[in-house]
Amino acid sequence: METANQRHTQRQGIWHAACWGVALTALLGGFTLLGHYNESLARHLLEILKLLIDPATLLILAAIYFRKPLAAFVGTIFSDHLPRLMNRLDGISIGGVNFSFSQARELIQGTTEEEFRQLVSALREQGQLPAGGEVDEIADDTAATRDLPAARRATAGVPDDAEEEAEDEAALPEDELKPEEVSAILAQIRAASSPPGN
Amino acid sequence: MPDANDKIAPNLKWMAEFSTFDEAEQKLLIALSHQKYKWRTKDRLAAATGLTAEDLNKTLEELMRRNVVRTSISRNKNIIFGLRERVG
Repeated sequence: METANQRHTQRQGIWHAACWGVALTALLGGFTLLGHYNESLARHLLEILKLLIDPATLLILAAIYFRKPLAAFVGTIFSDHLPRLMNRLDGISIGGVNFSFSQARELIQGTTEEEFRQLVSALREQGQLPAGGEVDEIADDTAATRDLPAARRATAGVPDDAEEEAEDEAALPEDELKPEEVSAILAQIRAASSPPGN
Repeated sequence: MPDANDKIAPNLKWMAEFSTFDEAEQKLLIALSHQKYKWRTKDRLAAATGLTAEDLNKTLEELMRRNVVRTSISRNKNIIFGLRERVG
């Protein structure tokens, strides 16, 4: 889970990376300028700089800079940051939750065009969808649902039990779990799942 | 006073993989395991878990990415969330 500290560190990292970028560019400009006066020295310095900005070298330097073992550093990029970034690039935010296109598609499957329009309007009114773009502009998305074979469409999307099973919207407050109850259940599950003697 | 455990549906598969989830995810999974309600709104999930809106959104995203949670639309046009093993 990202904390404020982690976000601060990330922002700091981006800022530092930008500073390094500017510094390297300035250095490159300096060498070019130096080349007018002492070509041999400039060429040597340029070779060193090219070695430094080699991707593999950069990766090692970044791992050292962020004080992480290289394997862990690369692992974090591929297992955590990249999928999350891809998910955000390849999706839509609804109510603050980022949906990938496949998740969003699953969400709207089974809804009629009218239901989908109503949903979009309701989300807009609640401020849960970004402003801009009329419903008509995204209504085409539902064509995929309309084109589903009848049998598929009958079972697509919201299952029958969504209508039969009570949603929690009408729940009485005493039905609801409280954070302390959730924590207590969590502790019980932990105790039950930890090996005896621990 | 009834045991809080009575509010949780028994024998859910995610509990066998309990240790693979972080604490926020575990709290959210418990809230989604409510005996009576298979579909939960974000407001109720936030109230039950005590997670901030930002943490709740990120945790829901992660659980959807892991295919443990799926979404749907309620009769009141809210986005609702349910455990895939319960709601299909």
